[in-house]
Formats: sequence, structure tokens, C-alpha cells
Amino acid sequence: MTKATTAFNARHCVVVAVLTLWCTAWAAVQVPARPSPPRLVNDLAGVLGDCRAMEDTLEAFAMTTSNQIVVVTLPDLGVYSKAEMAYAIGQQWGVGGEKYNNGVVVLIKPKTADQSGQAFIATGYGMEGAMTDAFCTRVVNTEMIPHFKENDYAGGVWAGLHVLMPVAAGEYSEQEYIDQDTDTDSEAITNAIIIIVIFIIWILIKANENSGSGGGRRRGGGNSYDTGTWGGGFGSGSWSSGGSSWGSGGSSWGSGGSSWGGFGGGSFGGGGGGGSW
Amino acid sequence: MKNKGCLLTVLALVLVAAMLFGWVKGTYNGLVKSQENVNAAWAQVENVYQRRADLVPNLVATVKGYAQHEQQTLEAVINARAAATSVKIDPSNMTDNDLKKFQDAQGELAGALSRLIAVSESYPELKANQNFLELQSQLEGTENRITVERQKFNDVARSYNTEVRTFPTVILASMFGFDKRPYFESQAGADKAPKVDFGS
Repeated sequence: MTKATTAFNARHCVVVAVLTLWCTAWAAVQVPARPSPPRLVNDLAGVLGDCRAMEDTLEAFAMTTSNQIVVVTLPDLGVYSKAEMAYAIGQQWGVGGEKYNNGVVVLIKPKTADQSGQAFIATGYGMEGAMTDAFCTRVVNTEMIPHFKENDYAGGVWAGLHVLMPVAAGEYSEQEYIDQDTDTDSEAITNAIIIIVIFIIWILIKANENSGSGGGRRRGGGNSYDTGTWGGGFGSGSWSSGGSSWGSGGSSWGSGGSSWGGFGGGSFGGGGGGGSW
Repeated sequence: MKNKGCLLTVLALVLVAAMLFGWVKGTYNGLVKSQENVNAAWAQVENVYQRRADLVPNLVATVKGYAQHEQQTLEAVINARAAATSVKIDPSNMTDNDLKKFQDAQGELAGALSRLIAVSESYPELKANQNFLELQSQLEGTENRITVERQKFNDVARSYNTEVRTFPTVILASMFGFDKRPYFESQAGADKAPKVDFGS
């Protein structure tokens, strides 16, 4: 009985192993699936080591400038060229915002015994102005590849990011991001004003009704009741909701979750540059 | 009694007319929207081809400084550029033949440019020139963009063509003259065909 079970298990394991192998072989030539939860550093080739600091830096960068820089390492490009793969990742993951198309994909395929190393920086439509193809090529060739040649992949990516981030920040600045944000803020303010106006009208109507039926003393009581609702109802309600949204933002940032908002559906046009070693 | 029957018939007719109107309106506006998408995709295609054409004068000037003996190759590039930029297409009534002409002219330019790059390989000083290196990377980037935009145009045109040719939309499409749009075809040699389907 136990013998049969072990035999079955062994066969089972072989089948699973073959399937896994087949799947990984098949997956190697596919564009990697969008990570869930969304991550900005995707070390699929396993050459960057501990990439939490890099992830945090890029998430903070995405939050302050809204530009999304994604780092992807792949063990194999399959039938794709490095430009095609970087473009396909950017387009299919939707890196960058949909409105500004401000995403950047940094793709690295490490050098192996029989294949040369490849690196490519693909730019979203909105980033093409700041990061020209020539600029991307130069960053790859002069900042990143010297480190890659010494097998220092994390160092190479950091060197590239130190050049990319200021340039990307210039293209789509923090100020624009704030401006975009105030659009929704002003809408909220308008809504609040409308609610306040309706509230005041309602109070006036109520006060009128009261004054019609009663004397000065009752009117005074009505007024104090009104300020009571103002202070307690409206004020505390809006404050507590503000407080809770801040709190949740802070906690998800602390845990390294998707507080940067995830990929925004940015579009790519084939821009960028790269090199090989 | 008879009046009531008449009223009912009129009401039914009005209802059918209203439904028909709703269908025609929805379908027609949908077709217009898809057609605009095709036109927009075509504008992007022209943009990237124009971008390549704009790189040519700079590239020719740079190469000329180092490789005077390649007069023939340089002239071929200049002529191909002139021919390519002279082919203009009106996207709203584009035929297979128009697109083929456009593609042939652009293919000529692509071929001439790749010969120029190949020739420049034998001039080490040129290859070390920073300006030339930047132009070369921009040219590569532009070729990538051309591949992408052609692919995007084909995708949009394909969905428009499917829409135009499926029943019952086909009735309205032929009534209002929404024609099928041509696709880019992969060309042997000169213009590199997109190797992979990006899906998206």
C-alpha cells in the first residue's frame, strides 16, 4: 500500500517537474506578466540581490514626480530584441500615467556563458522629450555597462538611475503633479461649498419657521443648536475622513505596498536606447 | 374604436422609427469614432517616418565630413529621402495602392540608409565621432518607433475593418461609404517587418 503510494508520488513529482520545466522554458520567451501586487523592481533574473532599497527609492520617486521607472531583469529574451522586449513590457504593464505616458522601463538581460548581455532603456511617449534615444544609449553604455562588465548589476542599475531620475523629474515636474492633484481638490471644495450653502439655507428656513411660531428666547436657542451641529457634525466629519485617508497612506507606505498607486496605463512608442556587452 | 386602432398603429410606427433612429445614430457615430482612430494612428505613422526623414540631412552632413569617397551612397540617400517625403497619403480615402507606393518609397529610404550605415563601418574616425554615434542611436530608435506605429496602425485598422464588414453594421457602412482600410504588409529586405505580435 505504502509502496504504491510512494510510486504514485514519485511519478506525480516527475510529471510536475516536467510541467514546471516546460512552463519555465515556455515562459522565457514570453513577455513577463504584470507583477501583482505591482512592483517597480522586478529582478526576474535574480542578479540584483536585495532590491528593497531600490524599490523604495523608485516608489518614492513615483509618488513625488508621478514618473514611473520600472527595472526588469530577465534571464532570456527569447525571440525578442532588447528594444522589443522593453517596449512590450512598458506597453503591456502600462507603465506611467495614462494621461502623460510618463513611464520608463530599464531592462537588463545579464551576460551568460553563451549569450551577450543586453540592456535597454525604453521611454514612454511623454518621456521622449527629456530622454532622447541618444541619451538613453549613452546612459546604458557609459553608466551601466561598465558595472555590468564587473558583474555588479545592482551598482550598474543604481548608476543609471542616478542619471535617469533627475532628468525624468525635469520632464514632468512635481509642480505639474501638484497642479493635477488640485483639480480634484477644487472639485471637492466646490462640492463642500454647495453642501454648506444648502445647509445654511436649510438652517435659515428652519430658523424662520421657529421665529414665526415662537419668541426671541426660542430663537436664541435655535441659534446655539445650529452652531452645535456646525462644530460637531460637519467639522469633525470632514476632519476624521481626512485623517483616516492620511493614516492609510502612511501605513501602506510603511509596509512597502502599492501606495504609489500601481501602473497607470501609460503608452510606449518604441523610443529609447540601449547597448550590449 | 377605429380611431383608437389608428392611434395604436401610429404609436407603434413612432416607436419603431425611434428605435431605428437610435440604432442608426449609435452605429454611425461608432463608425465615425473608429475611423478617427484609424486616422489618428495614421498620423502617428507619418510622424515617425517624418522623424526619420528629418534625421537624414544631419546624418549625410556628418558622414560627408569623413567619407568623401562615398558620394554615390550619399546621393542615393538624399534622393530616396526626397522621393519618400513627396509621397503623401490622404488617410480618409487611402487605397491599397496608395499605401503600397508609400511603403515602397519608405523602403527605398530604409535601404539607402542601411547601406550608408554599412559603408560608414569602414571609417574608424567616423565611427568614433560622438555626433555620428548619437545620430545612429536616434536612427535606430526611429526604426523601432516605425515598427511600433505600423503595428499599432494595423491593429486599429483591423478592428475598424472588422466593424465595417460585420452584419448589421455593414448595411450602414456601405450606405454611408465607410470603406475598408489597407494594412501595412511586411516587406522583404529593406523595411524590417515586425517579427513578433506584441499582443497588448
